[in-house]
Amino acid sequence: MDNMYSYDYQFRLIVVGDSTVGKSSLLRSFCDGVFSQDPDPTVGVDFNVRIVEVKPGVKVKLQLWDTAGQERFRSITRAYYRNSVGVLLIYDTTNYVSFTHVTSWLNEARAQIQPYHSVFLLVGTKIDRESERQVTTEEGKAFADFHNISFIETSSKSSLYVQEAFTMIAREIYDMLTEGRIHVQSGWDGVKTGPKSANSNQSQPIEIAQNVQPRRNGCCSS
Amino acid sequence: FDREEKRMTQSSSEQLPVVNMTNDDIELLKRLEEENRRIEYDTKSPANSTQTNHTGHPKSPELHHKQLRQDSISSDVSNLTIDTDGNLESEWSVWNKIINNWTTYMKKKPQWIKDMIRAGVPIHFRPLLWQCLGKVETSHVKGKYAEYMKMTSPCEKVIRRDISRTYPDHEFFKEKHGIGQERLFNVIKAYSLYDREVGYCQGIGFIVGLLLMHMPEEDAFAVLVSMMQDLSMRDMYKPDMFYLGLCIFQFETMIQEFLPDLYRHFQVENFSTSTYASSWFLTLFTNQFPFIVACRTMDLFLSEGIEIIFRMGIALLEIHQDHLMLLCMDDMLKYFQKDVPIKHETDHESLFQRAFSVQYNSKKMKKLEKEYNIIRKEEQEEQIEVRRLRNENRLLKQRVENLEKESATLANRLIEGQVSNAQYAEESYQLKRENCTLKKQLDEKLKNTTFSSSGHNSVQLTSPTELEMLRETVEKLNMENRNLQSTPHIEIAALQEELTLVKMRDAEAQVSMNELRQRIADLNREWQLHDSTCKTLRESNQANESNDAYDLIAHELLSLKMREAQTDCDNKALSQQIMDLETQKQVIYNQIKRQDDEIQRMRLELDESRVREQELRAQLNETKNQMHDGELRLKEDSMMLRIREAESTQAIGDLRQRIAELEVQNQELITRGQIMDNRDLQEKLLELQDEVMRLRLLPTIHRNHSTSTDPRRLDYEESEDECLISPLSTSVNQRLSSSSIVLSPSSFISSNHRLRQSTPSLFPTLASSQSSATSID
Repeated sequence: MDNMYSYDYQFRLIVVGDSTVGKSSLLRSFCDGVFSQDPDPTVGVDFNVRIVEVKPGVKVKLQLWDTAGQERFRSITRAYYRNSVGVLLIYDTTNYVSFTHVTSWLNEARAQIQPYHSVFLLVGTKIDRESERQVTTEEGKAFADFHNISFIETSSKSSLYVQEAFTMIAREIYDMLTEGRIHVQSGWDGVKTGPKSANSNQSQPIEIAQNVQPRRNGCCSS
Repeated sequence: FDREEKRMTQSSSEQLPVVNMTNDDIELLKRLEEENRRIEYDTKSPANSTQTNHTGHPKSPELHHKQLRQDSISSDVSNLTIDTDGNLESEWSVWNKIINNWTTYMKKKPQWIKDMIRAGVPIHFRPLLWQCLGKVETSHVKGKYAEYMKMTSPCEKVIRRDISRTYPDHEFFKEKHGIGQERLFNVIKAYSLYDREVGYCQGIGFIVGLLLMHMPEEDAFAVLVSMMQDLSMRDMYKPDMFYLGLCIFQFETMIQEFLPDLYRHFQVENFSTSTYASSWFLTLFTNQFPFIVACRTMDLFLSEGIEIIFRMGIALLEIHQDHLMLLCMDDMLKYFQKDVPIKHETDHESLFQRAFSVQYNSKKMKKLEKEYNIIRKEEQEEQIEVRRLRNENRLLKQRVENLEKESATLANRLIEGQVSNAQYAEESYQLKRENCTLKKQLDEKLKNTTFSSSGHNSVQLTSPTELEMLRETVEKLNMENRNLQSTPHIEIAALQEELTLVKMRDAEAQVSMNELRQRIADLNREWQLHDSTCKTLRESNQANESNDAYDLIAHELLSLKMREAQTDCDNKALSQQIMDLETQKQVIYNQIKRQDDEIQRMRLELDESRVREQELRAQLNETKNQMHDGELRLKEDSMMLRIREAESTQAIGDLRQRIAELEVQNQELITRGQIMDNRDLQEKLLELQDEVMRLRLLPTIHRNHSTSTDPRRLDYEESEDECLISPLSTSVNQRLSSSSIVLSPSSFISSNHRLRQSTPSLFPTLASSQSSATSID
């Protein structure tokens, strides 16, 4: 737990995709190292945290927001896009329909995040069930290339490429941050710098609380 | 508790006859309940065994459900054992009464029932209570359940996916495709068919599961329908989830009101209410919370509605406020998910008591609802606006693109236009130059023409020459005409010659014919001679007279024949002559014809030449006219020239006048100058006179001051004199400058003075003259 406070950056990522594509399983596999066959359906949003090293010596805390996949929960989950710097678009490789819905997820995420820069990662899940595969790797790759986003296929069950997926998007965000294409902005939780000490973490933000959250257009300068 | 119990007892006293009447029934009921309990224990028996196995893993909340359920049951049991004499009996009987006379109690004492439920429902009455609260008895949907079972729902696939994930650790639902899962699926499916607008929403499963733990499918379905409709849970699950948003909004406002510190903390941490509270509202604490809490919440929810969720939510936050205040966002969510449910596994009574004490203001909630409606509407409008603006933006971008394209093409065209413009400019420049040169040429030509106009005489000269030339041509033409007229004569002559030749030939032919006639005549003669000789011979030879006659006739015949031949010959000759003449005539006729033609031609030519002559005459007239015009113009010009000459002479006169004036001026000036000179001269004269005077005086001075010879001495004297004189002289000078020349003695001095200044060579003499002047003064 004391490790929780020694990191350089905090990235907030949102995990979206159809219901039962394995969002919660992917996060549990990544954060807890456990695979649960049938996690509770996410009602609203859930939340996970893990620290990864994007570069030797550079630690990044990933705040991972798990969202409900069912269409009608979008009214709730929509609010969580704004403060996210990265979006993991999840589809089930054994369910073609979930793949066809990726476009709408992507569009919604893009529309909601709009003034801020964000990084997308297309993640295909359940590749351990190769025999049931409905979406080929090529299809996924083509989609990702078309939309100019990264792509990876994973298996939460055998924890195959789960780590890679998260480090991939974390690195991409970190690179953009160092390139200056993404900035740490007050009033935006997408990217935050790590706390200097555990104590200052509590007292510091109270001052900011007095300020009204800057409007979206105020941050368009980037 | 005491208060409630008092009320309970009061009510029981009111309902005394009922109680008395059903004393036996109570006994029966008790037995029934016990049996019921036994059945339940039987179903839970495997759960009991698993429960002991799982006690080592307290982290799984689902397991705690069971454990707690067991606990609650055991507590109930303990209650039973402890209060066997009084409370339990009365509680049971009371609940029995309530359930049995639900409608009457509900009508008469709804508040009391509510309080009873708040106080806690015995586990065995729970299924009945829920059914009563869900109006299962009167529900008409129960009958439709079987019907729904036969149908297929469009949501089946989605429901199926979540079935295995609902209470996956609960014994009843654990088995894949077991009774529990099937029932769960059936009820959810039935509802999705019953209410197609809502269909299936994640979260329903937990509620249905809880209901199924207490009652059969059909009843659970009926209670679910009642919950959805009467307690507006369907609004919660509707695709737009409007009611959930409203609840979150209301709950947030309540936090702000009751727990301002915590609210601020959440704000600071950017910890939105929906993150932790949406599952509370959607699953009514059935998910993650202990079983007993879930059951009691369900009791209260069915009795009081959504209000209890607000109360419980606030109560939870109140209880955990101090701890939450220390946590950052990440930890808060984890705390809500894990630590809070665990904490209330054992201690749920305090939570509910706290919840009951929360001041829930339904009026305010209504107000908030209205507010939220407005906000939502505004948001929607904003979204619509945003969408509209985006659309507009897109369209504008498109337009901009189009315009850019257009502008690019226009720019291209502009450049082209400029290029062509430049070309045009060049062309126009060239044209101007050409124009210029043409103008120059024109000017030159005009000059020439003016020259020619000035020398119109040349035209006059040229026109007679032309006239002469024309005359010549006319003569020539006449000559030609004559020639042409003469040529047929020559031809005629030729033809005459020919004719004469033909005549000669004819004559020759006549001659030859005559010769031939002569010869014929000779031959005749010869023949006559011969005849005579023959006659003689015959007379001599032949004595026959008839023969003689015959001979004579023959002879005569012969001569006749000869004569005939001769005449024939003549005839022939004559016919030949006729023929000749006729041919001659023909020839002549032809010749005449030809001549006639020629004459005709000549006449035509003559006419033409006449016309030409006329034309020429007209031309001549024209030229004459032109000449006349030219002469007129010339006259005009000359007139103009004369006028100009007159003007110029006038100008010259003016100039002369001016010259004269100038000369006069000059004269004046000269005279003035002379006058000036005169003045100067006068001055000079005066000066000279002065000098003359001085010179005249000089010998006398020399005589007076013969001793003083030292020039220095003189100098000194002079300066001294000057000192003496100076005031006077200056005054004189002043007067002199102001007045005109006045010949006064003082002016002499002044002029003297001036002279002295101008002629320093005269210095020594002057000093003496000065002194003399003073002496004169």
